[in-house]
Amino acid sequence: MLKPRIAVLTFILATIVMVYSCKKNIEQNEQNDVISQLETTFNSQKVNGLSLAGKFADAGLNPAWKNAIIKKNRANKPLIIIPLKNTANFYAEMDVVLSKGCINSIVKKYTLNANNTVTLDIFRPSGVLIMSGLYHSKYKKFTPNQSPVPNISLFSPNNQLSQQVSLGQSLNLLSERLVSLHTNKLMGNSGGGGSTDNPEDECPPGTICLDDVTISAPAPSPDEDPGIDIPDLPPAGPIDYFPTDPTIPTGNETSSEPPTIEVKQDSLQKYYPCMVKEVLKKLESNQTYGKLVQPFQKIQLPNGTTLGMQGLPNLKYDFSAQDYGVGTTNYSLGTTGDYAGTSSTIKFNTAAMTNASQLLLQATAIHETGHAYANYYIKAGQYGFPVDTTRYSTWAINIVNFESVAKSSAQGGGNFNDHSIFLEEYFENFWGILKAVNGSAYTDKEYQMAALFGLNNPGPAPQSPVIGGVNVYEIYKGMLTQSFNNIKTKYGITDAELNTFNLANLKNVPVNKKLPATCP
Amino acid sequence: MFLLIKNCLPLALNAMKKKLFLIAILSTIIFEVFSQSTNRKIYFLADTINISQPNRLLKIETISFFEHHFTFFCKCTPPYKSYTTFSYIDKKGDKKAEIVFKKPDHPYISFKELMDISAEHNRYIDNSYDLYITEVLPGNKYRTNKVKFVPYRIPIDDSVIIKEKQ
Repeated sequence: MLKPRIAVLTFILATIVMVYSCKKNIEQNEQNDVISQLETTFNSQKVNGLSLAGKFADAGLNPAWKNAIIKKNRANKPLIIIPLKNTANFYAEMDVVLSKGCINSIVKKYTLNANNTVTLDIFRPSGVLIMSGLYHSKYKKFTPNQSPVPNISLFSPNNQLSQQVSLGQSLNLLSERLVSLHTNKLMGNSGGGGSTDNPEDECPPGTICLDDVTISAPAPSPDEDPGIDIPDLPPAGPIDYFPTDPTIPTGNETSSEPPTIEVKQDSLQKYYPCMVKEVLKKLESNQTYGKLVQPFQKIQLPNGTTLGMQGLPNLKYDFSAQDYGVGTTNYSLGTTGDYAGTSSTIKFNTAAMTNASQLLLQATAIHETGHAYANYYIKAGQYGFPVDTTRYSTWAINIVNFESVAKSSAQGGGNFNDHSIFLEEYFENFWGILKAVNGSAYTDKEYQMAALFGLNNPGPAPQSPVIGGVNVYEIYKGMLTQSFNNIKTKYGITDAELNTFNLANLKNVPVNKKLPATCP
Repeated sequence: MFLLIKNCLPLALNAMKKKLFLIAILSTIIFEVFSQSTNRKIYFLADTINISQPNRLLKIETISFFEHHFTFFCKCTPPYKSYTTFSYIDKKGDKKAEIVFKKPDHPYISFKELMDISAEHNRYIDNSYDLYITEVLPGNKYRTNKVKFVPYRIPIDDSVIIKEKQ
């Protein structure tokens, strides 16, 4: 009786093992097919007429297709990891996600720094740096740099900066210093990046749990997508997770040019195109002004889409109707508000855009963008990530107590703090930008008077300005007035001159000094 | 570029630092005055998971990597120009709130009670109450954070008064 039972049991077990083995073989074959297709696609790609594989090889990055592995990412999509380079202090890999029929890929580079921290830099396959920061190998978490992304190309000779901007830690990422390595566990075949078994646990304070970060970008169109069958066009919108899942649409990677960068102009572009063209665009060509908008820059991808991530500082340009001398002697040129974290909205006065001189509108754009920058600056400090004033700050000011400044700003409006900073720290730059943009069209004194517009305005008084019998607001106001008067004295500007200048640039301004009526 | 940054360092830096120091001192006085009393702890349960979207009283959003907002769809606090909002910030070095699988056993106040308290105390609510919001997370998880009132910030209006007749 026992022998037949053992025979049946043996048969069942053998069948299970055989079926499992066959299934595994089929899966393995399917995986090999996917990797093989991917290799073919990669090798057929060209960038500016040059082979993408060749460019990778020139940079010392050689895809080890035989060592590629496939695993499921957190969104249960296939993630293919192809090792590119593995040395004592350096590991690079290409991550590919097949999502809804599209190939999305990035290149991740991990570099062990001299101080034993690990820098993680994430590139598009076209060579454009998307993001840079510190990788915490213990937690498998990533802290992106708060500073703007340096303009580094994966394929630049010796990995030099393609422009001289924001020299940061990223410069270290390609150095080949030999240092002792004790964090190289992350550089194993597991791919080293991003995912953890428990995303909620032990994410160190101040770091970003990568799985919470999403990229919003339209998927590439079928015509542009370079390979692998596309069953249907995925919808636009958030398409994946980053960077556990590579998410940047590859499109047709035919250009290695760095992405163009622009500040969001929103409805202003639609209804007041001349303000954008004649004022904002002209200012953006100035390097000093560029520092002001740097935190808010969006990265525009070559395929026309914009790389947007939740939580990044954002600056929106808009418009509204404000006081402009009708029934009042008050002339407003713009406001900054709608603060949300490090983001702000600037609203230019519609009447000013119709009536004021271009010079005053330029000054307003600098002034309001300065408010947006100040809000970003204070918030970044409040979050525990103060802007590195030696490298990234527009004005070299050290506000140590961000909490107090942020709170006092909330109490009394931001004008006092910001205008004090403008007058004390930024005034030379302020009128310097105007002069650089307009050349000899105006006198230095006119540039200085334009830059002074509204800087003595301390903003509205707080609800309860008297603290312990002392009117704090009056003290603030007095300090601001003193700073304003110091500038006037320095440049020999009288109140009468300033008033005359303002009138001439606000009312009855000659047509050739105002914004044009149309801007094709 | 770097030369430009260096040139940003005017001689007036010391004077500015003195002023900022004064600002900091004054601000400290302001907040010390308002932080003397022992605050009462109150709790609110913020559920956007089990409530359908049209019926939700609030939205929960991350407005920066580090700042999180609970925005109640009610302009219930002076000057009644924006929704009543509370926030918490995950600062560098802060301990992250623990995520638990059981709803914390707190005496939660109602939406109306919270709005009444907010209307009465508005920007000074943090001087009288410590508000904790328990957020319902997917998968029957819960996270409780101490939050602060987000005061309405008047937009900065940059204007001048002109003497039109001289």
